[in-house]
Amino acid sequence: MCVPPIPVQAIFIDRDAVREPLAIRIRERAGNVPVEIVDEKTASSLFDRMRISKGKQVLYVTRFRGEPVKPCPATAAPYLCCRYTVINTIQQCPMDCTYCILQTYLDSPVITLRADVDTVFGNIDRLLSSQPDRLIRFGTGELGDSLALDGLTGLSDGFMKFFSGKRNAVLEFKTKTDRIGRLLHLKPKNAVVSWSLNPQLVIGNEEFHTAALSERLDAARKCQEAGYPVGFHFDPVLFFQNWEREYDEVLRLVFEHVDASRIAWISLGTLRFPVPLKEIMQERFPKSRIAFAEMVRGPDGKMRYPRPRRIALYRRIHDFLKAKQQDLFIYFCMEHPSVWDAVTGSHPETNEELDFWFAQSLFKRFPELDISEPRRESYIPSGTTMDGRILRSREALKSGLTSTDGS
Amino acid sequence: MKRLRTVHVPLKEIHPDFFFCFAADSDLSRLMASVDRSGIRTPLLVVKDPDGYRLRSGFRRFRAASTLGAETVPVRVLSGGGSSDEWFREVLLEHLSMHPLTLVEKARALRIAISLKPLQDPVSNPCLALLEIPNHPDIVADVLQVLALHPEALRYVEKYDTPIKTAKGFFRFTTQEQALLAGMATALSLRPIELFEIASGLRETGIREHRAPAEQYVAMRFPEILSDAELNRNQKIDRIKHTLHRIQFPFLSAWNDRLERFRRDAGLPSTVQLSWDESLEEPGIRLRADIRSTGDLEILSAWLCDRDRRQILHDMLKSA
Repeated sequence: MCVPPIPVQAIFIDRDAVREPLAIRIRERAGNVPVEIVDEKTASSLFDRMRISKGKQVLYVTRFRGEPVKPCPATAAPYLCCRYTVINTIQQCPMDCTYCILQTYLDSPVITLRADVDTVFGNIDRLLSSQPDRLIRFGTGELGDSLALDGLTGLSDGFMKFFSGKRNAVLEFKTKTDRIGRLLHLKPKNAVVSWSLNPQLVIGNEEFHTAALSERLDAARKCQEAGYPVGFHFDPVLFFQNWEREYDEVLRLVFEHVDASRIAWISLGTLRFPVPLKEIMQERFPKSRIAFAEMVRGPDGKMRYPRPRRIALYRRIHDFLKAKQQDLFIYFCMEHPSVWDAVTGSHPETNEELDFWFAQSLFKRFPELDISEPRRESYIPSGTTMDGRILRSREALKSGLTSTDGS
Repeated sequence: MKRLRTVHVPLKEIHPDFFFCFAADSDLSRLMASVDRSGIRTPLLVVKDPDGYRLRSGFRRFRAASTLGAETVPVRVLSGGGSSDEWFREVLLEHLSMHPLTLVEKARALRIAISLKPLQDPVSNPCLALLEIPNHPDIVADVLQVLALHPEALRYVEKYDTPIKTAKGFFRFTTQEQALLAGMATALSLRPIELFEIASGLRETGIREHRAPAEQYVAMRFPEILSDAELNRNQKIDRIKHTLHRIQFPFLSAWNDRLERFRRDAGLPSTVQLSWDESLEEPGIRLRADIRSTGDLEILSAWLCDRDRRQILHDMLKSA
């Protein structure tokens, strides 16, 4: 059932990166895939007008500029975000989801791999030492898939070694594949492996070249058996005919495959996208209908299902999960505080508080992660009041609403 | 081109070749008055052919002279059958020094420029810079595609000097649908932004309901609205937008209808306004009261203290 990620058909290595260990390793493992050494100018002229689908077949190894470790771009107030930190070693993805934000977010269509991994580690170290009392959650799966190319890059080994023993860090490998082979041979330490989940119907229609639902869940089970806490992301949750039945089935399968007490976190987020993505989706995936659902433009400029519909979708999934495992840590990605309230009965007052909730939950439920006990004051700066946040949110909402189309 | 000699030739020997006409039709009265007074000052550009001459540039001057019954006109005869593009660049420059080109004129000019350099990649055509068209293949293709629009849609694009980004909205529709949309837009004097808002609504709701936009147009009874003699232009536009909105946002419409019923049942005093964010993204309801006298205050207070009214507000809050 699995349709593997789009195979790499060509590898280009930036002349400046050719001596990096990662570049050397990739050349060794390239097999029959042609490898070409290029300078930056040639690379940019080669990739400049390349279509996204073509770019997904090309791997470019470079020492690209820009900060590789940074806060998740998240979204504007009033929506709450979790203060995730993203590690951008890889940008673009060999899978092809209709709703993928990378289609508009990234300038380059090719899969770009940052070769100077030591620079990345140096930046992570600096961040960790600047906030020693805060548990920082890192992830390599924000601008690409954490594991899709792991067989070629072997990046998971280096990351696992690096994060091992860091008392204020957790690394998340986020994937839509079942490529966990390398992870199973490593000693789990301060790492969570997570999967994005959707009904098989959605995977078949919208998530091309990704692993089937059963394959993702089998992989999750294997990782759990190997000692990894696992995570799940119901994101994007889609609204379609019989969605209740389809999502119930996914949830049933989750509990059938994994030990729910060993799930580190579950995120929920309904479909949302910036307006320009709609046109790209129509052009690249004319059979996809998800962008034509009834949506409104939120104060952050993104299209979303109307709030009452989102609440209904979340409530169904949230209540099912909580009925099975009361202490599951469930959070919403980029959601309005009123949605948290309607579904869970409360909401974090600030993004910082949500970050603290994460740390608390992990500390209590996963002692083997070897993290320090979180203290509230290390997360929530004094002076951040509920009223202050609400005031900011209202201002943002007001300014956002003036720019909507009124729909 | 400047070295070409000007000669006078009989008007009847000149045959207009409309492929080379890129300027839009416009009012000739001022030009005719000038030609009548002083004759044609700038010679027409022609090429020699077995039947006489074929007109390459000066179509408006040619029409003015014909209308005025001129016997002869001054021309310059392009050498080599006018196959070089140098003359065309000069014509363009001259035109641009007097008037900026509309999108349709640019598209026609680009087609001419490409025909004069058929072996060259269109993206490197020197006229692109003159026409202020970015040398990107997709943009060049889009500009040329404008000329393939249904004539009614093309007229509409020309009339409103629609930019390419907006005019591209027509590309999503069949030529029959383009005619339908342009017909509606012309009948209601819709500006492009309004037209494409309606058009995209038609298309998207059509996709949702498995109907082509033309079928959706009929299913939403737009033809009836357009021909309703009881309605004026603004009422027709409102009716069309309202119909479309309800189909586009059935969930939100039902939700807002429910809130609207609450508002009616709340028996609001005339000094109080009750509203909410109709996109429902901002939670809650907004109550605005004008208090200009103690009497207003008493009315508001009594209204808020009424148990049934408060219950309605509670119910509204749950919904909003």
